[in-house]
Parts: sequence; C-alpha cells; structure tokens
Amino acid sequence: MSNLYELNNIEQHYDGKKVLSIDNLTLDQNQIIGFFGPNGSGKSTLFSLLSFVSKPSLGKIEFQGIENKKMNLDARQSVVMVPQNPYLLKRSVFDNVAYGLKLRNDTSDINERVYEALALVGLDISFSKRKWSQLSGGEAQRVALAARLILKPKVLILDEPTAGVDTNSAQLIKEAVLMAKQKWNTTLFIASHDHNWLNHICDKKVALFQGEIVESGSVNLLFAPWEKDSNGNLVKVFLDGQRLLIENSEHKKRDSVVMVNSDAITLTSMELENSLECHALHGVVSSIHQQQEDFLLIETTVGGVCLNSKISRAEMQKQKLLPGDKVCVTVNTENICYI
Amino acid sequence: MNLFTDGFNQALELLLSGNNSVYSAISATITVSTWSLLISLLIGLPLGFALGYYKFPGKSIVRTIVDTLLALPTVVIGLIAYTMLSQSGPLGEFNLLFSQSAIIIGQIVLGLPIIIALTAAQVESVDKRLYTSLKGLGARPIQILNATLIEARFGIMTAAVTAYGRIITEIGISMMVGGNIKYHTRTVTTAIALETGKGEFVTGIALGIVLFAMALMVNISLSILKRGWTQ
Repeated sequence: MSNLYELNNIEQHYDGKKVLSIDNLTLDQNQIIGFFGPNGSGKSTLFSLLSFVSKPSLGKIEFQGIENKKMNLDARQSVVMVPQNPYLLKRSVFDNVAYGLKLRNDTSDINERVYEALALVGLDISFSKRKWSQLSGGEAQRVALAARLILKPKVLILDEPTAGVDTNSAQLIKEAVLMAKQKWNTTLFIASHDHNWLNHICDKKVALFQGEIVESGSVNLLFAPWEKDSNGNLVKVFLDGQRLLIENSEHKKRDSVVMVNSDAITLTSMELENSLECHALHGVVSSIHQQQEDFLLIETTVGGVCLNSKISRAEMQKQKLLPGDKVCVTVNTENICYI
Repeated sequence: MNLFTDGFNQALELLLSGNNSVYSAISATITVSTWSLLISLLIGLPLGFALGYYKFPGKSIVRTIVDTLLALPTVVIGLIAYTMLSQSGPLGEFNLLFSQSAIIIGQIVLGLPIIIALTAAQVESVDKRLYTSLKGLGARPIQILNATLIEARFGIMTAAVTAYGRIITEIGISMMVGGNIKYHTRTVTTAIALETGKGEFVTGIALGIVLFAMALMVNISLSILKRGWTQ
C-alpha cells in the first residue's frame, strides 16, 4: 500500500479566520476513507484541498509524491469531487454527464458511455433528454455522480453524497461508489454523517473537529450540552434519562466535547450479566463491522446516541453478541480527551 | 393624433416605395450598431467576467467607475471622440472623423460599460457552487470562463439587448463624429433630428416608427431564442 496524498502543516484561512489546520495526514491509495465530524468541522474545506479546487493558505500537499504546485493537468484531472449539493449545468442530463469528457477532449463513443454511466446510478436512458430543471434532488445527485463515474477517476471524493436524498437514491449512490472501487480500483474519500454506512464500507476513518484532525480511526465524540453533578463533574444525560458521569472533570465547561476511543468502551451481554446488577449504561447493539482481522467494531445505541466499541473476535465469540441484543456499556472515563 | 397615424402611413409608404435615403439610413444604423455591439461584446464579456469573478485590490473602485460610465451622456462621448479623431487629436492621422468607423468607435465607448457592468453583475449572481463543481471535474480556467458565461447566458443576452437599445437610439455620437452625411453616415436617429429640424414631423415620426420596429424585431428574436433554450 503506498501513499497517495501527504499533507504537511496545512492551514486554510477564510477572511483571516483559520478554518483548517492539519499537521500531518497521509492517505493511502485503493482505500475507502471516511471523514466524519459535526457541521463546520472542516470536512468540505479539506475536500476542496484534496480535489485541488482550492489551494491551502499554508503548507504542502503532495499527490503521488508530487507537490500540488508542480502537478500536471492529467494528475489533477484524475481526482474528481462530487461537492455537497452539486451544481448541474443548465443543460440536458446528457450534456451534464458528458461535460467532463468534453473538458478532456475524450468524446469517442460518448453516447454509449453516457448511457452506461446513467445505468450505474440507476437512471434510464430516457433520462438523458431531461432538462436540469426536471430532476428531483435525488436524481440530480445521481446525475452529478454519473458525471464523475464516466471519467473512471483515480480518486473520487464525495462530500455528503446521501444527505437530503430519498432512501432509494441513497442506496443507489452507495452501490455506485462501491462499484467504482471494485471496477476501477478508485480510491474513495467520503464525508458523511451516516456512521453506520462509513463503518460498513471504510478501510479507515478520519474524525475532524473545529478544523483539526482529532483521531484517525474509530473514535466517539460526545457533544454538549453537559450537566454538572454536586461535585462539579460533567454528566451526560441521554434522551432516555441514563447518565454518564465523567470523573475528575470539575474544571471542564458545559460546552466541552469529549472524545472516547472505541477501545475505551466495553460491552457485556445482558445474558451474561444480570441486568439489575449492571451499573453501567444500557444499550442495544445496532450493527457489527469487521475493522481489522482480529477485531470487530460494534455500534451500540444508548439513548439515541451511537457509540462504537472495538472488541476482539475471541471476546465476541464468547459473548455471542448479535444486532438487537441488549448490552451493558461501560465507558472507561480515565482515558478520554477533551476537545 | 393625426401626426401619428400620418406618420405610421408614411412609414409604410417610405418602406414600400424603397426610398433610397431611408434605406441608406436604416442600413447605416444596422451596420454601425451591429459592429459596435459585436466589438463591445468581444471586449466587454471577458472584462465583465473578470470584474464579476475575481477578487483584486481596487475592485470596488473599478466597479464604481464602470457604473458611473453607464450614465455618460452620448453627446459627451461624441465630444471626446471628436477631440480624439480630429486632425489635431491623437488619432487624427487615421482620418476617421465623419466616417462610419468614427461612429462605431464612439458607440463602443457607449456600449462597453453596459456590457461590462451587466456581465459582471450576472457572473456575480451565478450560483457559487458552479465553480466548485467545475473545478471538481477538472476544468481549466478558460473552460470555467466559458461555462460561466454560458450559464449566465440569459442575463448576458439582456446585457446585449440593453446595450443594443442604447446604441441604436443614440444621436449625440452619430451627429458629432458622423456628421450626418447623406448616404454615408446618416443614421435613423440623425435623420429624425434633421427632418424634425426642417419641420417634416411626419417623416420624423415615420423614421421613429422604423427605429422602434428594429428594436422590436431584435427583442422578439432574442425572446424566441431564450424560449428555445429554456424548453
């Protein structure tokens, strides 16, 4: 596996305000890398740098070992991005899908290639004649994706591709991007709030918060509001009334963001432990994903909040956990970080 | 009211009889206004794009100057053009004064600020996502300019029509640097001024109706074109 991107001492400023700061980030090729974090955390800014839409205010980006300033057009054009709410040209669907090929003066068999790209996102040939104004939000998003897939890119960057689209369109988009990976070995960078999807398909996840990378891997972010107990410690009150006390947090503010690593959360099956004796949080297993060969990532819902925990395959076999099972969730609050 | 009906009847008569002086004025008007509009578009579209698209120091000052030039009286443009093209002026050696070329130069000065200002406004109003989408597809700067102008085509057409309307109806420039020479630099507007000055109001109104018909035809053609694009 070799480095595709290397970012060093990157800073991006808008109107004098720092919106992104990355000391070092390496992204490998032929992987699916998920980016997550709250709105305004810098995902779109990072994507605009990775897709060469904008240049960093400070720092260096290397793509395939070449600094972005010295890169040729072919290398730049091998990276394409579907931005959040992509813009469709005021032309027909056919012209929109074919536009990238025309930019590259690559128009051989253009009709067949447009129809093929439309089919990849589940759109019929008859759609090619439609005007941009005759599409629903989900259809427009799929047309924008088809316009990128037709280019068979080396890197495909998707900024919240399933946000605001119907379930059917979201499913077709998910299938189409995976197909790009399988068919052309495309490296995928995906920003999404759909943690379940990211857990399911990503080789690696990168968490961003307030313009900084907080962890590359599986982390949990617990956001404000926090309450204070009688000793002044932070207490997270979940929607179902369950409470998580953070010890030794007297000096922390109520708007703090707490980062908990996935291996700091342990799960115990309610069948193994008497539920009455469980003093930890109660949760329900919502999904199980393979993270590494010997480890699994279990997503558990506690009072509407999703928590990821890393469990060894041996432990998993011992506990025999399945989605839907009730579990005791213990959070080791000694190893948490405040952001 | 008789003046208008007589004027309308005479306009038809003049056009149907193939009156040489009228057709010469119409031809001169179409020739100079078309050339001046085309050259204004050629220069004004890239400048308008640059003004609307890029951020640069002094942009607001340039914008204010361009907006101010929109209100420049045609007689002042005519006067400046006259000074430049007269024998003692910096362009005197080209002997352009009292020629159709002189009118075209003056009308470019008239049309250019309109094209630049309205194109800049249209480019500024183009959805900001367009740039990200085009760059994200790997478009080069010239391809972004092209696509942006095509996306803003309806607004730019309005700019062209506005500029054309101002150009074909101006009289100050045509009179001052054209000299109103029959069969040569006499345009419809200078002919109207001449006929009215001679007391030939009906002929003046007839020519006015011809001018109005020309403007109407341009607008109808563009409206049909616009409808074709949107459907």
